Amino acid sequence: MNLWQLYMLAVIVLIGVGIYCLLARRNIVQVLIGIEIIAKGVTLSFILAGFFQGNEHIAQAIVITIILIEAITAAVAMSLVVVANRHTGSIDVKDLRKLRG
Amino acid sequence: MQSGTLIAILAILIPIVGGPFCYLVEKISSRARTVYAVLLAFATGALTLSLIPHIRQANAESFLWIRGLNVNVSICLDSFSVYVAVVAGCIGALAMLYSTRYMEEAEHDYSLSRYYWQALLFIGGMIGLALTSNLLVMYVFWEVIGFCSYALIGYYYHQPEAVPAGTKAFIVTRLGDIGFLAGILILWFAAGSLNVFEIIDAVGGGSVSPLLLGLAGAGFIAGAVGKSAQFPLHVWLPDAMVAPTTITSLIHAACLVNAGVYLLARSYPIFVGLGWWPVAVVWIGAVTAFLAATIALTEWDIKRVLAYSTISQLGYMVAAVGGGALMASQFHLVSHGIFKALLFLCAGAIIHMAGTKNMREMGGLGKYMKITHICSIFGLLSLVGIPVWTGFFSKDMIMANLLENGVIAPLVLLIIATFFTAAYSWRLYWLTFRGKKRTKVKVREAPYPMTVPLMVLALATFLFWIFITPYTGKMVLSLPQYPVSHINLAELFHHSFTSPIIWVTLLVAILLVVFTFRWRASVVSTFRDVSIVTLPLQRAYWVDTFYNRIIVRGLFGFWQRFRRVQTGDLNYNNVGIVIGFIALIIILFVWGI
Repeated sequence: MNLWQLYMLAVIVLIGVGIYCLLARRNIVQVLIGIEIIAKGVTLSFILAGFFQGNEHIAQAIVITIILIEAITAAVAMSLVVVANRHTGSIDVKDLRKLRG
Repeated sequence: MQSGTLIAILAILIPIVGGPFCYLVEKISSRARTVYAVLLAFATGALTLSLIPHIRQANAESFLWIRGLNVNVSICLDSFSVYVAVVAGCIGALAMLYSTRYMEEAEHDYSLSRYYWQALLFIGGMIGLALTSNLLVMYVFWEVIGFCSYALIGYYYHQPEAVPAGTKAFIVTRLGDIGFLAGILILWFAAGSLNVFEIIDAVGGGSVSPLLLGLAGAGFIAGAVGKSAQFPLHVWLPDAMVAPTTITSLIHAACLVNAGVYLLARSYPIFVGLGWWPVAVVWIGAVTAFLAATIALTEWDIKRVLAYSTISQLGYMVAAVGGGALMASQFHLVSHGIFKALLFLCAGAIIHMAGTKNMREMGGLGKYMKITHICSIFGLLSLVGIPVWTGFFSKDMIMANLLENGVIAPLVLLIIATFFTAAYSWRLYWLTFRGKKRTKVKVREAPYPMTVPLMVLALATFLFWIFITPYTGKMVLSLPQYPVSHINLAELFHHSFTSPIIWVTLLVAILLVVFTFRWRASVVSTFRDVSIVTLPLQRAYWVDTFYNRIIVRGLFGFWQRFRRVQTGDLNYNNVGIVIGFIALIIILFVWGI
């Protein structure tokens, strides 16, 4: 197994773990961590793609942008968690069912 | 870097970067913050004015922005862009000065720093939009001003109608913006460049397929129709009148709504070869000018009358672009920017002092607000097009050029709209300033920070035509790809007073006199009563009703059927997302490999 296959495996494992986290966890914070893990996998895949295209510059620029956006989404999401916690008194997603359309 | 480019970059960056510091300066005192914001706005206005001697052929300098995609930030200093920037900078500065007193009382309930930085961001965004020739950069600024418009319409967010009006403006213009973005991407794909002038060359060389060019042209029309509030996407502008009047005057009369007209003029050489494109543009403009002028006759809210008037005047500019009268459209853009900003600021002074927007409660204010009264007369005479106010020359030039270019049927609509313009202007004047005083409030003249901008703008709308020689001086030189011509003061007079359109002006003047001495009561009362003629006008041709019934409720009804999909359970929703994602990957594999 050469290096890039290892990287690819890491991407797949990260995204897989993140998706499992999204599907199976009921704790909002854990769901959020799942989203973050997926985002990390995607970021890694961008680096990989840039490396194989020979376009490390663009990959780097895009990855930095992704990290920045991730930080913002994480902050916003955490603030939403805080609001949800004030609203329902817990951090269980089942308690948010009242929001259904 | 040339000095013109440096000034241009400073004029864009000073308001955008300096604006957020309002929050810091507010820590010193609220007064310091206001002074700081006004100083920034005046610095920007001075910078844009100092750009005028630097007008030169476009494409002078560009800076690399995205290396891999070959996107450049190119500063373009030709006659079109510099004057749009000057309107934004100078009227922005005057509106900021006016805000110091007008917005004072809002500070109890709302943050004024938010007001000032968003207004400054808007000024910078508008200047940036005007001064670049790269379509992607232009789109970025296009969105910046769209955001500022949305945010400032909803400025008084405790009022129940403010936030929905902002959302409406955002969604309706979004329909156009998507068309504009699609047009940019199609052009990028078809012509291989994002720079307007390179695209013009590519289209001139015949290397662009007509189908793609047509799609892009339709997208650009959609963008301009959304931003410049043309029929059928004009519905957001009258509702945007819940914004502070200074913002209405700056954004929804003088600057933002010009962006669409500017875009059409800028992209005219790209699409003019299509044949249907100019015809579509001229008809959109003429129909809008006519319909909006008729609706303005029946409105009672002083700002909504002016809003429909703005839509109507923008229709003239759009029609001028479609009819090939690019210079006339840009001249009217500047002239309209001045007198409509003036009229809105006058309306603001009246609203501030009389405490109402409803013209039924005004009346007889001319005696108490002498400066506002005279400034309003100047603005209205310019709007109606009476010599020698600038509005006469610019509107006359549009109609005379359309006549020369043989665009007769839309011209007839525009001429009828001119008479309606006279009627609603007269009605606005009479209901507001003459007759009996109908308000109980003790009215007096507005304070100096409010009347000084009024007087400056009134003088400008009276005398701007004197600067026609320097205004058009570098037109031909700086815009070789555009059908524009040089015109000096003597020629302007000669053209304006010898073209057959002068008869229209004469009839309008007679109409005003007849209104004043004969039909005074009937003009005011006719459009108050409901009749078969006035009902469509009072309902604004049911455009809003149509959108509500068919589109809004239709979409709601359609998506109601999918309610059951929303379990409200995060994990189930995630399962759905993952299944959709896997399905997408499978589809891509089947198609791609």
